[in-house]
Amino acid sequence: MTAMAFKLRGEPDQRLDLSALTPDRLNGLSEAAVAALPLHMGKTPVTVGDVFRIIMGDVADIRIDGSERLDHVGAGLTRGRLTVEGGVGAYAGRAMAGGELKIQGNAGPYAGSILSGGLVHIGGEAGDFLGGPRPGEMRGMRGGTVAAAGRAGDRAGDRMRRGLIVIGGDAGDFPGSRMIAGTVAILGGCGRLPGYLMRRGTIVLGGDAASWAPTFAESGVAELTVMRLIAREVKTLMPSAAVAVLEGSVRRFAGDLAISGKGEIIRPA
Amino acid sequence: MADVKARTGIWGRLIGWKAAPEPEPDPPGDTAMRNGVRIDTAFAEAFPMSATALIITAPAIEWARIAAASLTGFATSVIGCGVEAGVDRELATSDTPDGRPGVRVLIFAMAAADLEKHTVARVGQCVLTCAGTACYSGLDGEARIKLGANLRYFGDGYQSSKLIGGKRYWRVPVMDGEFLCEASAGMTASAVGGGNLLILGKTAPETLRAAETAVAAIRAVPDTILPFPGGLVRSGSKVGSKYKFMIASTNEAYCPTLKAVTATKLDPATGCVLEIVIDGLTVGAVANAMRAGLKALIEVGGKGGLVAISAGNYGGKLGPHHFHLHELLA
Repeated sequence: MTAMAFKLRGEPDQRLDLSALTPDRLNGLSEAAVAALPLHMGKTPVTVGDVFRIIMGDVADIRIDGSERLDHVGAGLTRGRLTVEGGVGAYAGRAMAGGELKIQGNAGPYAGSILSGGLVHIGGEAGDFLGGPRPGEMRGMRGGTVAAAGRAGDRAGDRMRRGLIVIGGDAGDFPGSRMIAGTVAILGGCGRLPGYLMRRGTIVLGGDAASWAPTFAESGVAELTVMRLIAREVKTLMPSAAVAVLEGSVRRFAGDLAISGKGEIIRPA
Repeated sequence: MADVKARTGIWGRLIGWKAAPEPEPDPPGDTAMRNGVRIDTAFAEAFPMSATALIITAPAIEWARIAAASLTGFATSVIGCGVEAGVDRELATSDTPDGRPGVRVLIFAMAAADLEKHTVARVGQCVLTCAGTACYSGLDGEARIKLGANLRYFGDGYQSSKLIGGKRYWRVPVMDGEFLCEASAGMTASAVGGGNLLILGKTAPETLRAAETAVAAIRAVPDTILPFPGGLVRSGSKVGSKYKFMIASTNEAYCPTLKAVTATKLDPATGCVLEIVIDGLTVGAVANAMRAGLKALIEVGGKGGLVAISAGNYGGKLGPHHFHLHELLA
């Protein structure tokens, strides 16, 4: 069975909420019913049929044309595969619990926000708060995996509780801010103050940071077996990633000592 | 050799059931001759066991071997040692979770609770303590036993967990860095313990050489272990003793030096008996192991000093798995 496809009729006039286009929401709907689903976030009503040309197919394998005006793509996904041919706006894959969201272009802020399961794979760059919570929410990612091949914005992994974030390029300021646990692997460098106020968890940093918090204490050089497992996982997500450097001797910084010091930043020795 | 049943590897199980019925003779049938060796109409009677597999890795294979040897030491019989354990095989770097050389060990017990208790104790004493090692589950069984989830407390609050690829691992700080251990290990309740071959030879040196050949052949069979020293048992036992404090004692009917003074079960040509006991993760694995052992022994043949090959059983009443030698020959 071929994939169910949504082809853009043109660039949308307003930002749209695409959280309706998931296998669970589309299952059992006729083409007319799918076309009638509302997508608008503003006052002007917009339906799927207004924006997309629909090609019916397997609801567990959905393909959508990308646009930076498409928000909440794959939000709430629990199963199946959703592929975006291009970029997306904000909140892609927010609150996903399972399945796979593959974005071939860039993603806006809050991609993978409060993810609890599944995989969000971003072929390009990611915006701020990758995997992070919205203002007022107490927890970020609670599980699953988010992988961005390019760079990521500020505060990736904010308030992260569990799971894995992999950033193929550089990260912005404050990666892993307020982390509770989990792993953020940044293959490049990052901006200011990685791990700011992190309680536990691991930040793997392939490069250097623009500035370091004085509340991280170097704990020497070691060969940590767990890094081999992380490197293998990263290699699975990004086959072209240079992870060999993570498998040898690494330098461990314990922190943030302003909180509890049970977190760590790990860099190649 | 039909009623060879009171062996070191089995008497414990017999006692464990608190019922030791008199064994029944094997069903009548013809013996078979292969390359000058008599193959008795006997069958090995084996029992269900719970089992797990662990992968131990280290910076060099030597240290993985050391940890595995330590972990599987003193693990010949469930009664005397709690579990039966042995090395299944060595693993290439491409076959281990962390890309380091490793060894896969199998551990067998009569119940899941015993398996978990003894596995955690052995990993805690023999792998956690061994320089450079890490420990992972080596089996995707139908159930799990706790492993690192219990050992983590050694970290005294400094331990941390990592969830990678859907599996949870515990990192325990130790003096050479960290001990990495998977939180749980797969367990199967469909394992089989007590597959066996009895090797009857003319002299002790000839019988030992033949047995060594069979052990080497069986060790190439995956998912099986030979828990006794060198894969062999020489101390076949019977239940009970003339001494009240002994629950088992030597089986004099199979001691060649007592042939003249006991009701011996050995024919005049037999001067030595050795046994191979096999535990496996599946019925098929045990059958393959016995088949491999039989084949190797037959190749040694009568010219190599072998008289007969037999197997031990309880008359078929205690163990549900019966491995008939003649069927394995087919």
